[in-house]
Amino acid sequence: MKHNYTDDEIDLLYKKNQSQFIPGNDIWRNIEDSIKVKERSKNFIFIDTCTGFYKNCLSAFPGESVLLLRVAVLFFALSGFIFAGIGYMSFKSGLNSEHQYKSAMKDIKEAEKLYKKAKASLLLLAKEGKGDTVAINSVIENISVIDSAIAEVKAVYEKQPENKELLVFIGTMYYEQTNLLLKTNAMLENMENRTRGGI
Amino acid sequence: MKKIIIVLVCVLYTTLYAQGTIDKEIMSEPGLPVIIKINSGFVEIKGTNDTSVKVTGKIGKNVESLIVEKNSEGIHIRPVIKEKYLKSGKDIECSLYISVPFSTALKIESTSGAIKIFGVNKTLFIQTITGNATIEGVYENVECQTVSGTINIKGSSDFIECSGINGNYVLTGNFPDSILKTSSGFIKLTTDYLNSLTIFSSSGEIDVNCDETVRSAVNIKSVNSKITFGIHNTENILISIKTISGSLITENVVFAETSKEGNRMKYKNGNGESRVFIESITGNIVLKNNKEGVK
Repeated sequence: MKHNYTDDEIDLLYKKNQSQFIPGNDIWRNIEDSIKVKERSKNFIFIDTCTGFYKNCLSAFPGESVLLLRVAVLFFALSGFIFAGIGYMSFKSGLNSEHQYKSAMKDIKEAEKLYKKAKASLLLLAKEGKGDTVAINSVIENISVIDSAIAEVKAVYEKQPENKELLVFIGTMYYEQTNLLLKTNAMLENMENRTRGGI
Repeated sequence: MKKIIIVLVCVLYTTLYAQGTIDKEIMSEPGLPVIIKINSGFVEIKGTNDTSVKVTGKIGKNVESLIVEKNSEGIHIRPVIKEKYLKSGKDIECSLYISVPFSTALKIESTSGAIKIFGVNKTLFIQTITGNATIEGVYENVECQTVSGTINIKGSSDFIECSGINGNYVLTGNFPDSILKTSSGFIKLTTDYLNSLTIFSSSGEIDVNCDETVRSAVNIKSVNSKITFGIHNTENILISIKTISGSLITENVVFAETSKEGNRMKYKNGNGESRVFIESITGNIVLKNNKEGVK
C-alpha cells in the first residue's frame, strides 16, 4: 500500500472519495443522521426481523440431529436481539428529542452567518471597483438569484414545518453557495492581483 | 547551485517581445506544467508529439510584451499590460496559438479570453471569470472554475470538477466521476457511464444522459431547476426522486418495483445496486429511458 502521497495525489484522492471524508465539525451531520434514523425506523419491524433471522439460522442446519445446535442458535439470537432492541429504543428516543432539532437550527443559523459574510466580502470587492466589471455585475445578479432560491426553500419549509428534510436542504444550500461565493471571491482577487502585475 | 542554474535558465529563456507578432519556442521537460494567463482575446492550445512548447500569435498594442519563461514551477506564458490600460482593458487582447507536448499538464487562467484546447491528455486546470472554454481530448483529471463562463468539453476524463456561481457546463463523452456545481448556470452531461456524480444547482436547468450507471452514487440536488435524467440501461438500479411542488414526468421507463413515500418516488430494478437520488424542491423532474443510448 502506498503511503508517501504527494500533495497533488492527496488532493486528487480526496476529490475522488470526498463522500468518505466527513469534516470534524460537520454542521449538518446531526440533522442528516436524525432523518436517516427516522427513515429506517419506519421500515423496521422488530418481530419480523427476529422471525426471519431465526428461520435463516434453522435452514442453515437441516435435520433432527442438530437439535442442540438449533437451541444454541436460538439462545444466542434472542440474547443478541434483546441487546439490539434496548440499543435501538434508546437511540430512537434520543434522536427524536427537541434538543436535536434545536441543535440543527443553531447549525443552520451559523451556516447563514458564514453565507452572509462571504456575500458581504464579494459585494465589498464590487464596491471598491476591483475585478472585471462584467464579472462583478454577473456576481451581483447571481447573488440575488441565490437569495431568491434560499427564500424559496424557506417558504416551502414554513408551509411544511414537519418536513425536517428541508432543514438539511437549507443547510446544504448555505454550505454549497458559501463555497461558491468564496471560490468566486478568491478568483476575482487572483485576477485582480494578476492584472496588477503579479504572476 | 541548483537555484542559480534555475535562475540562469529563467533569465536565458525569458523573452520580452515588442508589440505585434509572437513566435517563440521553448524546450519542455517531462512533468513540467504549462501555465498560461491571459486577460482577453483567445488562446488555442494543441497537443503535439514535439518536445517543445511553441507560441505564435499576436498581442494588442497596449500589451507591452509577452513573457515566455521556464522555472522550476513550469513554463509560464503571460502578457505584461501597460499600467494605464489595465482598468479600461483597451487593446490588451492576446491571440495566441500554443502547441505543447500532448502529455503536458495545463493550468490556464483567463479573465474574459476564450480558451480552446485539443489533443492534450494530462491534467487540466482552468480558471475563467467570463471567458468560455472549449476542450477536446482524453484527460486524467479536469478542474474548471468560472464565474459566468461556459465550459464545453468533448472527450473524457477520469475525474472532473466544475464549479462557478453562474457557470454553464456542457460535457459530452465519458465522465464517470464528476462534481458539477453552479448557482444559476445550466448543466448538460452526456456520458457513457456514471460511477459517481454530484450535481448541485439553485436554479439552472440540469440535463443528464447516460448509457449505464455502474455501482453508481448519483446525487442531483436543486431548488427549482428542471432536471432531466435519461438512462439507457436500467438493470440493477434504484432511482429515488423527490420534489415537493414540482411535477414528476416519466418517459418510457419500466421498473419492477415502484413505491411512494411522502414526496419521494422510488423505482427499482434487480438488486438496486446503482443508486440515483434526484431532488428538486419546486422544479419539475423528468425521468426517461434513452432507448437508443447516448452514443
